[in-house]
This record gives sequence, structure tokens and C-alpha cells, in this order.
Amino acid sequence: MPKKIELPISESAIRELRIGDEVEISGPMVLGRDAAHKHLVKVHDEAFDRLARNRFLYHCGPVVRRDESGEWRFVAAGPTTSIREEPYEAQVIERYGLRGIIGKGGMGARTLEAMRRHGSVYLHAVGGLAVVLAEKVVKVHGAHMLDELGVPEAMWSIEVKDFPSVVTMDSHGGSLHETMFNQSRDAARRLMEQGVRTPSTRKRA
Amino acid sequence: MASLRPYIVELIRHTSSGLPEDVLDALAEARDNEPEGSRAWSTFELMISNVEAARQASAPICQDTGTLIFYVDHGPDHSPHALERDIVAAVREATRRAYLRPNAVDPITGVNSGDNVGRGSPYIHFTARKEKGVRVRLMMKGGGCENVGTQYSLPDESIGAGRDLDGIRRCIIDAVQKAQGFGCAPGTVGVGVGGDRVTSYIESKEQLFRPLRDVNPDPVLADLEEELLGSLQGLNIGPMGFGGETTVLGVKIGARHRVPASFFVSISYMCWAYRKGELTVKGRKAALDGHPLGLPVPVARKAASRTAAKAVVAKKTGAKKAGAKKAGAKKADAKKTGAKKAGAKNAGAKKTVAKKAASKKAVAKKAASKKAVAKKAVAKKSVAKKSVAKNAASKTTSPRKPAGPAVQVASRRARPKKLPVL
Repeated sequence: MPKKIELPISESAIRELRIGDEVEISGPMVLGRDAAHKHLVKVHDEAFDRLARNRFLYHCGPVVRRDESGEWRFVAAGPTTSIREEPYEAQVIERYGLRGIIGKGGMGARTLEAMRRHGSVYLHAVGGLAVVLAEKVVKVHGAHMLDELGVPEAMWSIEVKDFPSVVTMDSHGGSLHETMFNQSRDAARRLMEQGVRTPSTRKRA
Repeated sequence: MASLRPYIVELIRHTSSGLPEDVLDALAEARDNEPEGSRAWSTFELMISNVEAARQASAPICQDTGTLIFYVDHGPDHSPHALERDIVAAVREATRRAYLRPNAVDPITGVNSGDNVGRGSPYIHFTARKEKGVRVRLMMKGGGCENVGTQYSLPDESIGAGRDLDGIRRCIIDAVQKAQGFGCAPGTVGVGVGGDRVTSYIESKEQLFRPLRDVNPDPVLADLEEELLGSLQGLNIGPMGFGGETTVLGVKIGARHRVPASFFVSISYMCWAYRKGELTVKGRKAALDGHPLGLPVPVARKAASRTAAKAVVAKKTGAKKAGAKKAGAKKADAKKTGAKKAGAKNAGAKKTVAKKAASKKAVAKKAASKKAVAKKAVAKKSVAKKSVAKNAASKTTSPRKPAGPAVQVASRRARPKKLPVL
């Protein structure tokens, strides 16, 4: 059974999570990706701070629609590749008190270290699951810096209900991505050494 | 020829909100190979349910609707200029309808154009062909899997890859291993071997248009594909890198002759959200991935609307066209007589060398020059037509002019019920 997580969340609750834990997240969180990270390390953004402290940051550039009443809706909202934010994330976690990062593919050693120090986790969501995940977004409060950054890169403030993901980096230095990467790298080396199979006996089609 | 815009909007909607049947089958098969209830199994289950949900809502299966690249093969009855205009207009409309995410960012200013139109966007490959009609293929490949595309220049010592089949194989294994976490597994690997840097990558993407279960016509490559499709699963990367039995859905390899100095192996990795679609239009028949498009339209209305449209066109461009045609015909005539004369001269000269051979050659040459003349005349005509179209277009706004910041407009997202008659 997935663990239920309510945002905002305390450091001690985050420290209880371990790699491999399946979770369902509910509550307010904020979106941010490439352009946002660049901006967030350049200045201390007070508006973002209010949306982020003790909550999660979701690496996602959504497809959105605005209905007649002016209300925003998420049409498609799966995770984007997180490793691009590796140069910024440790600083962003520290500066804005983030308790978690949701994305895909995992992150590197610097982020893992920041998570260990500040009490934060990485949550892996399924890439390409855009419609299913958009349905978990029950409310869109608005978009911070929409004009400057555009729809995919703005910092959207949203409310989610039972958003599914898996803890793949925890606040104790564990990373499932590292394990998987090393395992597959060794398998790839063995496979390379096997070489090409005997010459083809097929006839040209 | 009526505007293809609504058909291309439909191609985009169809491609963005679903997966080809062979890919869906492969995902279902991959799910069934995992122990029920395992993380890999439930991940595949989620992927499949996501596709169903997307299809029903006409929503993009993945929010990253990718770089828009259209591959257009067109006959003499379609002008590239008109096709480009229709594609650009369709891209704008599809973005308004939220079939596409606004994905065109100016790399210099950092500003998102808001409608997927910008410098070199959308990108369109045109290929002219003899047969009438047009085929528009669209591939929507997100940034995650595009970023892990890579090009090896052999020999590559870091992976022990020499300039042979074994070297090619090592490149493919290395690329798949390194793609994990970035491109959403299980993916399909398109490989271009040889060529120059550009054509090698083109070949790798062309390979991704092949059906998953076809067999490579080259027996050596067919063997390599089959072997790798089996052995790459041993990397145990599984869906989304969670570990599992299926790491790749397909391996597709194509080759192009290379210069002696270069040996490129280019890899395009397509994520599990393998979005591709094909629109074909011939005469008044259109089809999407082989399924007929559009509803039958009452004959009377069809005829009326067509004659009306014709009349308008005639009024607008009639004078110009007639002029251009006349000029074209005159030139073609002049060229014909010229070519005949030249042919005769040639024949004459050769007579002095060898009578029999010469007369045969002259006949062949005449035929060839006639063909060339005919071709030139056609080309001239289409040039004349194009210039007319250009004049008309320049009066309105340029189709590639980037718009301001993103403004999303509420719009009907359901599939248009009726498409206009072609």
C-alpha cells in the first residue's frame, strides 16, 4: 500500500521515508524546471519561497488550457528529466527549504548530499504519464512569472490529490538510480564482450 | 487543391493523443512478461491506461509534444509553398486547441513564441516525387529522449568500438545503457550507420518510422537487430528504470555509404511514448495511418462548393495564371525547337564516325531531350504558380513570423466532426 503524504511536511516525516517507498502525495506544491532554476539561484524569490517551503517542487512543463471562466486546467502534466537541474538543485533545496523534488530519472551526487543535509527526498514519477498525472491536479492556483517564462517553464502553483510516485533518493544518502545505473553498466560491458553472433545465413529480402 | 490545414490539425491531434497499434501491443506484451503486481507490471499498466485516457480526451499522452518535424513527400499536384503554409497554420491551431504544448523557445532571447512557430519551427522535410498526392509523416519526440540521441565517430576507444559490425553493436549497447533515466524506457532505438553527420542522424530517425515487427531487408542488419532486441533486455533497466524484463521495444538499423575517412554511428532513442503518424492525401481521399478520414459529403453540396471555389480562384488569379502559362508555353516551344536542332547537329557530327550507332544514339538523345524539355516546362509552370501564391501570401502576414508571449485561448478540443472536401 502506498504511504499517504500530506503537504506541507516536516523534516522528521521526510526522514522516515526510504528508497523504494511508494507514496501518494496530496496538498499544495509548485512546478519549476530549467528557466525557473536559473532564476531561483540568481535571486531570492520571495513569491516562490512562499509556495515552496516545506513542500515539493515538481519538474514539469504542463500543457494547460484556460476555460471560459478564466480558470486554468492541466491537460497533460508528466515529469521532465531532472538531471538538467543538477547544477542548481542543491542550492535551491537549501535556499527555499524544499522537502522533496518530483521528477524523472533521478539526480546526481550534489543533490543527494543536499537532501541528506537538509532533509529532503527525490520522488520518481512515471514519464509520459501525462494525462493520468494531470488528473491528480485538482486545482491550479496560478502561475508565477508566466509572462517571462512561458507556459512550460512558469512556476505553476497547484493542488494535487493522491499523486503517485516512488522515493528513489532518500535523506540518508540512498539512491536507487545509482544502483540501477551501476548494475546496467556492468551488464552492458559483459554484453559488449560477447561480440557479434555468427555471420548471417539469411537471404537478402 | 483545398487547404490541407484541417487534415494536418487532425494528424497532429491523432499523433499527439495516441500510440500506433504495434507499440501498444508491445507494451501490453511487456506488461504480461512481468509478475503481476510488481512495480514493472504496474508501471506498464499505468502507461497503457494513460494512452486510453489520452485518446478519450484528445489530450497529449505526454506533456512534451516534442520538436515538430514533418516529413512531406509530395507529387506535382502539391506545391511545397502551399503545404508549408497549411502546416504552419495547422500547428498554430493545434497549439490553440492544446493538442500541443507551446514548445518553440527562441534560443537567443529565451522567449517562448507561444504557438510553436518560430525560427526554423516547425521544421519540414520536403521530398518531391512523381506520383500525384501527398504523404505527411509526423514524429513527436520529446526533449528527454532527444537529448540522449548521440553520435559515435568510430573508432571509439572508450567503448572499444572499431570500424566494423562489432563496433556498431557496442555503440548501440552503450547508448541504450546511458539513455536510462533520461529517455523513458522501454524505448526503440533508431540507428544510422555511415553517411555524414547530418544524413547519419536523418537515417536514424527514418528508421523509427518502420513498424516494430518488420524485418530489415539487409540480412546482416536483420540478424544484428534480432540479436540486440533479445540481448539488450539483459540490461534489466525496465520501464522507467525501475528494473524489469523489457528494456527496449525495438532496434532498427539503417546504413548509408560513407567517405573512407568517416564512420558515424548515430542513435536516436524513441521513448515508450512513441508518437508517429501518417497522413496520405490522394485526389479527394485522405487517410490517417491507413484509415479513411472524413465523412461523406452530399454530392450536390460538394459540386456547388467546388465550382464556387473554382470561380473565386479563377477571378483572383486567372489573369496572372493565363499570362504565366502563355509565357511558359512559348519558352517551352522555343526550347523544344532548340533541342531538336541541337539533336540534329549532334547526330550529324556522329554520322561521320559511325552511321548506325549514331542514328541509334540520336534517337535516344532526342527522346531524352524531349523528356527534359517536358520536365522543364512543368517546373516553369509550378514556379509561375508559386509566384502567384507568394504574391497572395505576402499580402497577408508572413506565416513564420513569431508571435508574442503565450496566451492560451479556450477552445473546443473534440475532434472536428466534418472535414471539408478536398
